[in-house]
Amino acid sequence: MTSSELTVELGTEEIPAGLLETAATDLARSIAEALSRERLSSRVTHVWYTPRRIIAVLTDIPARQEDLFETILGPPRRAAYDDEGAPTRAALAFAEKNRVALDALETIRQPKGEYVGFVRRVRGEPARAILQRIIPSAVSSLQFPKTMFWSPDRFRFPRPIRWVVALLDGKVVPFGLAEVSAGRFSSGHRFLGKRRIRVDGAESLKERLRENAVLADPDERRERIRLQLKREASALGGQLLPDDDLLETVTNLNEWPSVIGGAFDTRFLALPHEILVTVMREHQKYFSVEGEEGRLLPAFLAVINLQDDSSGAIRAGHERVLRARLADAEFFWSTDRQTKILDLQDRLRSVLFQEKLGSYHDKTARMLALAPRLADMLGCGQHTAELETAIRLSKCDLVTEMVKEFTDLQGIVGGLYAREEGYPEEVWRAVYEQYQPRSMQADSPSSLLGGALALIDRLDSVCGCISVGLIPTGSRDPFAVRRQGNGILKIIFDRRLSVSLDKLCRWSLEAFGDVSGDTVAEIRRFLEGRLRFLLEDAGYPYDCINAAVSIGCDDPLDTLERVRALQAMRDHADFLALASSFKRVVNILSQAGKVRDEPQRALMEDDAELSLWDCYRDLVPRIAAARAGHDYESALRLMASMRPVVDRFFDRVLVMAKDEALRNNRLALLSCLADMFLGIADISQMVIEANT
Amino acid sequence: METDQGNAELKTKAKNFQEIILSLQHFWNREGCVLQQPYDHEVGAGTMAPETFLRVLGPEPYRVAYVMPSRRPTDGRYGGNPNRVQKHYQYQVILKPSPADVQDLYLKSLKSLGIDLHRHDLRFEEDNWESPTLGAWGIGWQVLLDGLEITQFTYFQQAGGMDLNPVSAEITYGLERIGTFIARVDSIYDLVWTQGVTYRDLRFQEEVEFSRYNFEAADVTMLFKLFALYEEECKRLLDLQLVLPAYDYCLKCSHTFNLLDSRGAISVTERVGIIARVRQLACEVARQHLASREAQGFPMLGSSADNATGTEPESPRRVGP
Repeated sequence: MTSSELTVELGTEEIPAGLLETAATDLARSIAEALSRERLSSRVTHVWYTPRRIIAVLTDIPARQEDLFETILGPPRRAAYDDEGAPTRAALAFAEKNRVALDALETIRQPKGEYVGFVRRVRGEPARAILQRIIPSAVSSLQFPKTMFWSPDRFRFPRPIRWVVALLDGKVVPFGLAEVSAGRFSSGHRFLGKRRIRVDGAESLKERLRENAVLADPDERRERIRLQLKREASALGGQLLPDDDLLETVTNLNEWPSVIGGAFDTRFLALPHEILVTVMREHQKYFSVEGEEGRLLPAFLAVINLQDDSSGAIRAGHERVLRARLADAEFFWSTDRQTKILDLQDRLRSVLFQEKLGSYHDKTARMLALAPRLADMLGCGQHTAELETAIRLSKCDLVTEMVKEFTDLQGIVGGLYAREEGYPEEVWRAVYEQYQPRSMQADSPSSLLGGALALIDRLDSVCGCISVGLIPTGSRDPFAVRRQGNGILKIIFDRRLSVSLDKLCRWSLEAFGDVSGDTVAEIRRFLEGRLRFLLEDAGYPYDCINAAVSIGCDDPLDTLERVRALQAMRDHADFLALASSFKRVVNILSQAGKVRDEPQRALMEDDAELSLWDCYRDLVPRIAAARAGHDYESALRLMASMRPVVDRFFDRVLVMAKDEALRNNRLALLSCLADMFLGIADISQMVIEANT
Repeated sequence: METDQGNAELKTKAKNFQEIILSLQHFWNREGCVLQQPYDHEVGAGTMAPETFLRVLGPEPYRVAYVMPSRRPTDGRYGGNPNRVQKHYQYQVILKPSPADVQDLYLKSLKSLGIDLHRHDLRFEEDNWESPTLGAWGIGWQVLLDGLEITQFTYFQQAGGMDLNPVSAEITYGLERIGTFIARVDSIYDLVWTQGVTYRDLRFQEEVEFSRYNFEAADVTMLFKLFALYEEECKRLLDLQLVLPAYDYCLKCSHTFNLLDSRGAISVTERVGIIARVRQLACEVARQHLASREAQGFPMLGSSADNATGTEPESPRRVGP
């Protein structure tokens, strides 16, 4: 056999669901990297995990390292032999120190001259011996957000490691880890499997685990849950309300997942469905079931870690727990509504937003001051009064019992209470949507005022935090300022808002009484960084982003459109040719210094010069019109159409003519061209590959 | 076959509330625990009793189990909520050092209560415990049985702001939760305490009166004064190196703070400051207690050499003058 299979299983106490995938992937990668540092190739073939185990399988590992030939240099040749060619003391000492015979020394040429020395053959170590060393250090090198001690050797891991399987081609790789010796015995499901299972390798591990009620492969578990959810939902007469995050969580909470259905009292259907779904999902990890027209059924689906619930006892237990939870929610829903939501405003004085930035009452006051100034820019100048009402209501739900219990429902609860009290739809919906987008994949607010409120809220948070020095650095960002910055831009993009970041920042800072130019610059820098991040994240090429951003990005939506246009034109041969000519233009102009005269037709003597000028004059109004309509792609297309004329100009005309008047006139012409391009992007920053 | 089993389970007499406690006492007695009595002070949780907070410090091995009535004034519901009460009962177990089979031991204890884990869904879900007032935190799980949280399971990492070595395992059973699970009732007030006596008979009036006291009647001015007095007394006792009495006053501060909180007398900003003051007391108590155990040569180390973990205990920090 020339190459081998390595199977490593870390048997643990229940590892948090959110850590599993990364932990298993990192383990496999970390072993592969350690192998490659030891000159051993490998291929990760499987990454499996359950709450109680992390498994990495690597194949194509050579049985041993290649032998290594090391050159050991001794003294310079001149110093190693005397005039008669006899070895000197230096040569003798070198040979003795390295335990080689004198006649084994050779002459080795080096850039600096000739030396004596010899080539030593280092025998390659067997893979097994190397693995014995590297697996424990690969495990200790894994990074986790939070780890613990449990044993006297003070090993750290998210939860205790209780057994280790390490097999190279069916033979144990012996090592110790956190007071456990690696061996060949795994362990089955806590209740449905055997405690001790002998395994020989990756396939045997997977199959023996399956016999012992453990599906090691997460994909298999996910599929099993998905199928059973579907089946149980239709058994209940409805459809599953899909929830991918929850599916991922339950996949990582169970070794042998099965889905059971249950019911709750129809009286709870009087609660808004957002609340029902949240109670079930957040507290109990249940899926919801929809009937006709998207109405919730009084039912739930729970994932259990057993084969089935033949006695119905588990179902009865879950129903009892849910009943208590829903009774709590029902109690909050009715008691909260005994107070008018707006009357809760005063209580926000004692809810801290941030130590230096005051309470949520203070935050609301700042947002109110900001609203009328921003309303026009955010397209809701006609609805300033409604926006202000929405702002007054926006944070009140933080002191409701419902939000204290279900923090994920902040905003939604306020919106629902406002709706119950009869506020107009645009107001309650704005409150309801104020925390959207909840992630970069999620939707932005669907309503005009929702978008405005969400943006003003985040703007206040970002400007406030940065103004008191809470600038995110590295992994430290306790107030999630980056996420809020991303949110601002996502809202601007999704709701297609044309704004000036500079004004947003300046006006927002005034509400803090901070008008220092430094802070504005700091926030602008931060938002520009977020903008670049979002554009890169969306897959736009660097050079398009650089070209568009470098002429300014005060209006992010406009910047996005320019980047899009550049990307669309990127593979256009004429455009690329033009971009490379534009580089010439920029170089020539920068060498020539400032020229600001208007080009004179009378001073154009070459036909190529005249046609460039005419072409330019013809295009200026058309490009301006396209720009005004934010149709940057057409504008770039028009520019690209200039290519033959520009090429001809450079072929025929010497810009740096001896005659000063001619030269200045030509520079002025190029300068006009440059200004036209720079209205959209600095296309000299485009990276041009081959065939231009 | 399955129906037979079902009948068998139905026939097994479900344990009443005090039988649950008795079973746990028997179980942990067999596992070599000291069966302590509840500490005679108001505490928010079994963790705050000196049998946990102070015993987990330092290298001395220890195993203890006790019931702890735990007061959380803000959880009072005037007897009107089937699951929330301002005082509940915890069954607290500390295993120091934590044995490698600690999860299995716990599962066996559930079996001793008659819970069939092949027919009920038991899981350990991430839940890390933290007590800012005690400068303590640990890593562990909430244990869910058919979706009901019945236990908090924690590997103590720090107490009194100090790293713990060896690590103790803490198992905190929610006795009312386990009771309602076993009895299959919706309300803790319907639990049978012992034959002919219900939880309601014994506890309802207490819940009503204490809810009124906690939310309405407690004298805020007096409580603030008491807090200051208790804090001063704790510091004075610490200066005298009377550590255990000092800890009593630290506990009084903590409970007084909880009462003020349930009266809504503490703003969010104040809250952080007051918690920090109690933590300072708790951390100083922990430091001095560890120092005094060390000065005595950690007397419980020798007697249990068999239990020793096989490594040198970390040398405890030196504190004090």
